[in-house]
Amino acid sequence: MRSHYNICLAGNPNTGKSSIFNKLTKLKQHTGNWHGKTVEVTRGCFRHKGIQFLLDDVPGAYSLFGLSEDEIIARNHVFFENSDIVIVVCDPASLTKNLNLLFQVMEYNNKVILVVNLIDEAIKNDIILNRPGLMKDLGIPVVFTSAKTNQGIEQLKNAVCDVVADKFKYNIKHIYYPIISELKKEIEKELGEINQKEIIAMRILDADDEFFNMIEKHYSRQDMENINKIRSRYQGQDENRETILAFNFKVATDIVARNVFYPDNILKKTKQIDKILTSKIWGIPIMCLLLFVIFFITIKLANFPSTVLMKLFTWIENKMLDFAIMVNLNSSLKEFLVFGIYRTLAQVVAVMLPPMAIFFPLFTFLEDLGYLPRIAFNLDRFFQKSGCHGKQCLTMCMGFGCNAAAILGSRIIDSPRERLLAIITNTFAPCNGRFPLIFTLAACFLSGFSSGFVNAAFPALLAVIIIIIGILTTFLVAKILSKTLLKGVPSTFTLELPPYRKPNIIHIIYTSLINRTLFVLGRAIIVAAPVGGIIWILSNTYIESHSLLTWAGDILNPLGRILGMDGIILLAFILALPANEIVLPLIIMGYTAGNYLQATESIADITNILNTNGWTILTVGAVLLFSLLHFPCSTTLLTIYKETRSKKWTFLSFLIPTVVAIIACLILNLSFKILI
Amino acid sequence: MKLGQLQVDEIGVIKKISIKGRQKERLLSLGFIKNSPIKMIKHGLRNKISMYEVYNTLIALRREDAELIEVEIL
Repeated sequence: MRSHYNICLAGNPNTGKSSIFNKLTKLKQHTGNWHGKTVEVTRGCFRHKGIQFLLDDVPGAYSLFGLSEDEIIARNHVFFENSDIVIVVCDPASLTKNLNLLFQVMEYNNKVILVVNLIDEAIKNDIILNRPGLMKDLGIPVVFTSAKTNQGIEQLKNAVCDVVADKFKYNIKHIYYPIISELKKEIEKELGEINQKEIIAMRILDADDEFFNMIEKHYSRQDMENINKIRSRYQGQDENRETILAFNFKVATDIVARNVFYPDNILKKTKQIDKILTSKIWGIPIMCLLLFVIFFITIKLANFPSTVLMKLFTWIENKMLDFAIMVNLNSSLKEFLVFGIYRTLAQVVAVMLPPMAIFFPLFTFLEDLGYLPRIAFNLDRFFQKSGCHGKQCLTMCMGFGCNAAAILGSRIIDSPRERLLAIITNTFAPCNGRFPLIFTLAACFLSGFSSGFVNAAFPALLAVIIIIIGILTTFLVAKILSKTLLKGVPSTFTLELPPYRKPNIIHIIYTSLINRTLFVLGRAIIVAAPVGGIIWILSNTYIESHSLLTWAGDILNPLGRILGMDGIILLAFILALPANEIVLPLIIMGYTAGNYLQATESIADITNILNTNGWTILTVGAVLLFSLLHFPCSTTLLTIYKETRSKKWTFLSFLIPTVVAIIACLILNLSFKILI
Repeated sequence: MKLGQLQVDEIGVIKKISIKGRQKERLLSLGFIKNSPIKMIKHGLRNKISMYEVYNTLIALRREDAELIEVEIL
């Protein structure tokens, strides 16, 4: 027995692989009902029967010979990591297709376990599966699980232990391709004994150059030369690949026919829902309506907790001041700590936390339901017209959560040109750091018109309009880029539309509150504290009777004015480069830095501060537009650099949105001046 | 006929895929295999994208790509 064993967790996208990972390791990784949620290898570990296991969750893949980066990551892991066990997770509803990947993995690894997940859903849909039959036909351990109900997780752990203890007698019936044995003899003759003979034989038949480039470093130069010599005698790799896969599917179809019973039309419910949600006429209006409802609920509910938090933080502030006097703290230090750092922190939490904590669960609900690929289906015509990949819509939706995560997620796009398009235009999807700004400003300036239902309806409507402007800008900028810097036509793609699944409420609340809200808020706090300190220092360091803050504001003021804003607002946007969450708190701090008596205890107080500093409806519009369209945050830029490995594209990802934001604000300002 | 020409709810059998290399691998591994049945479920806006059912999975393809797949009606 070794001290630990490595397990690789593979499977088609959308089979609940990551949920199995979470159940085994108790690590909470966020999963979603759509392709591309996991784009990197996630590692976790668990212990069972005294044995330690390291578990690697690889990106979902339909094939080990796929094209996109996430599939390549999955393939390299299966090929070269030499895992002791590979667990292949399958969806019983589409087992035939899933078995194809299982067969591919079995070519490379003898210790494979098949996990048929989502078994609760299968039972609900009257799918009947024969586990002993599957085990007999495949010759490998088969475990039925449901990550949702915890069913089968213990059995899976037991199976893993049995396999490492050699208690399970594998009886794999490798799919027999007659031509391989001939080729194997040929390889033996020319190369002698080499590693993975079967695989080399198989791949000589069906793989392209890229595969052999990839394995190059694992063989001696002499061996590679000989392999290539044999390769040159074989042709028609493309056709062979098709024949081999057709054979795999035939075997899979037979196994499924023997062991699984499907009732007629198992996708009936999903198709019925799709009749409405992806309807040519109603698809897009329903999408806008859903957005509106989400925004409405967020704005309606966020006001009260915001006010409570602001009051609470003011109370704590007074206590802190009392305490400072009690311990005789130096007055400059006291002001730096309380009015600089603490107040900025309090602002960030009070203004940002409530809308986030309400918005994220609602958004996660749609995500878990499987709605996002439907948005991609509905909007595809426009993405197509702009020269974009069909999956860019998925990365755009990811951007509503976090732009940096969306940049990573754009690995699901396999063509480099279209991936860059998705990366550069991603910032036009406001991330959760910017949503609260939209909600708060909309609430500040639009609620005054009336009360009751309309109170939240107007701001929600404005938020929907902002999102639509963001999406339209994405199309416009992508279209211009496809005609200039990134010329080309969209490549082939397939979009899987998973069955609608009932979201698990506990899961939603957990992932959206812990993984997202606290993560985003935590990052905001880390950035807000030093920036709050800087603001205080700027406002208390005087040169010629003006504070540095006033100077900075004055220098930026002319540019700010042209854009319909002012110097302090621009300064806030610049200082908030590390985290967009802190723009509004910084603006408020900038305005009130000289006046510590001005406490903010409600949304109305914020409105007052903004009003006294000359904000009009034009300022609100300009700030919203600039926030929507401007440069991505520093984390996102860093991610772009890591992903593209190009200073040029990172710089352009900064420059293009900034120019777009400036142009948009100029147009808004000009049309406002002309019209009014 | 071409895959994109199937009527809604009509079932065809895949005969030929004129896409090369790794793009084809993707389609193959999703079950776009010769002699496999495929059903047209519905069209998207302006029929530029359509939803198909293949091996119990719903897959959307753009019209340009569906033009490259040859089917026969049962």
